[in-house]
Amino acid sequence: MSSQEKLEPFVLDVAGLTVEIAGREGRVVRPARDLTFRVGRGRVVGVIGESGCGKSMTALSVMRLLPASAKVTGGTVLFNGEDLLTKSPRAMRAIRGKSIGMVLQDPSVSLDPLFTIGDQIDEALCMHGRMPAARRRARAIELLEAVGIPAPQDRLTQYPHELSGGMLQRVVAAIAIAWNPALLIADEPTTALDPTIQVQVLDLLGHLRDTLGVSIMIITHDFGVAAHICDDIMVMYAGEVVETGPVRQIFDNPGHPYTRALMESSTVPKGKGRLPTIEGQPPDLGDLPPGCAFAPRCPLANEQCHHAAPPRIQLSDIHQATCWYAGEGMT
Amino acid sequence: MTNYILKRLGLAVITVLGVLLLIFVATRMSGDVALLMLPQDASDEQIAAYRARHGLDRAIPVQFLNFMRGMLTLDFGESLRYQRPALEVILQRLPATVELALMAFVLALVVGVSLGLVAAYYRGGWADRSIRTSAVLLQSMPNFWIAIMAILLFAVMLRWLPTSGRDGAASYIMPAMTLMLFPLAAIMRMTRSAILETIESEYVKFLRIKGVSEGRILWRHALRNALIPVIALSGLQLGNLMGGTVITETIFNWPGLGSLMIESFISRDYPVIQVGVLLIATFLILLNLAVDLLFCVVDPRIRYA
Repeated sequence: MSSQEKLEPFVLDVAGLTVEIAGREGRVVRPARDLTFRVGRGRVVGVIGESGCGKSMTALSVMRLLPASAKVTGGTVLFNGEDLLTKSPRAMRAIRGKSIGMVLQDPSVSLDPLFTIGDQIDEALCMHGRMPAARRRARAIELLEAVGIPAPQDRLTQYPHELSGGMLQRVVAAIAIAWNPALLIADEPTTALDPTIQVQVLDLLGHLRDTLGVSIMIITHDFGVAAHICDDIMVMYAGEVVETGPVRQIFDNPGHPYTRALMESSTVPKGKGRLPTIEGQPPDLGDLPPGCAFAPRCPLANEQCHHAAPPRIQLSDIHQATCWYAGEGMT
Repeated sequence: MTNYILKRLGLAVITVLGVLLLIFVATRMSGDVALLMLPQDASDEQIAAYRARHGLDRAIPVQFLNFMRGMLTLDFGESLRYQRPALEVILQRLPATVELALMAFVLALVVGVSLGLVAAYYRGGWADRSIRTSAVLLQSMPNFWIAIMAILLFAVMLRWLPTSGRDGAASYIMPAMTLMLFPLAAIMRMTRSAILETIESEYVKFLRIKGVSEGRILWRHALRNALIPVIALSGLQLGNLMGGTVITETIFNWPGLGSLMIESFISRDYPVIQVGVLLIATFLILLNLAVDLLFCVVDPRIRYA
């Protein structure tokens, strides 16, 4: 990072982000609606919600890698103070892989099966500057060491199919941090891994934050993951942010009934009781209810919730929830 | 690796012998060559003498053993029709077929892969739509019909090209085109779908995340991954093409192996049929082996399996 670059307190500052997908017969689906959130420098932010609530779409809009059918129709995505949405494709490519790294869900399909691990790290090192081959090789070994891969020089000539899922996710992380990015986005980075490996990968992400100072935005559906490494949490439901705040405050005092339901369904109950679930399904993003989107599944919902959009309530100066009942003690 | 190749070659020898045995017995059961070769009024003695001269009076297993013994010294017997060594007859006709098949195959491969790439790149556009439509058309028209229509149009009506024979560059155009159209369409469609499949894969998404340019993704990653199914298909198509030469060469009166085989089957020229089948079977088996080895070169997952 150059010294001239002014250090904003927030690496990522998203305001009013709206994404639209044009469906059949003029139907418009909005997987992200008026999203506002920030990622503090050096912090780990968890984006939590069920499948299909717009988490991945949000991450892809930041990367400007939305599928062709989807497009951003409003808002700003400030990265280090500059709006990524107005960047040219070429400028955006210079940012991807250099200033913003990303780790995907399934490491077994994240790498090209026909190239060696060494080739794929080397490719990342060739993309954003010139380095002699010997230095690139040394850097590749250094990166593999940084993500905790044993015998790194032996890995360079191996192919992806020769490594386990956990090792591959480390390789993917090594590529993502190749240029010391300011932001690392991890989209369900542990979902495809064995439970014992999941914790290791999470610890690795925490370690990278501590050693490189990289800010991390981690997408997950699992409150356990968030509790393990996140500093801040943002809960998404039906394309909207319903609650944001520091992880401790949210755990102690969840402001939104959806947050509470998610927390209850991720912890294993003591004894023989059934794992609590949230009744019903997330709404059709192309046909949302007029009031609060969660109202049809909410145990607290009344007439008002079904008809009027809920207000954003400040629960503390850095903790807010979008609910008619936020702040009133819930039972 | 060497072990694998040796094992495959060993299997190949057994397969070729099996094919030979089958064709050996089948031709001899299909009719009596003596009655076909000798004049209508030939006496029983003349017929018996003809059979004795060519060893056809022996039991079939004995004939097969004799044939095998000759094979060891590259003596495949004498053509019953040409009264020359069968191998010589075959080798004389072989170059014309190799030229034609190779020309058709290389064209089908180069044009097929290129058009497949174009179709995938401009997916949904007019180029993609016209390429896909013509591929379906080409694959649904039998090549003998295309050949006849082409003769009618280019040779009879427009008089641009010779109707048949192998004389000068112009005479290659119609037979090669007829032969290449089906494999061209097949390779084109396979390339298109394979490219589209790789372009939508997670590792291409991750390449974009790395900041790799679209051009590099297409040429270095997508094309190489897409080539795996294309190689498999091309091997099959080259094999089919050998079968296609039989029909195409007959229609265009092309002096190659395909038309020779048809003539030899009709006149029951056993020795020529045997050498021809030996050659074609060996070629197909080696082709399959070559395709499998090529897989190993392209795909590391197969190399170590």
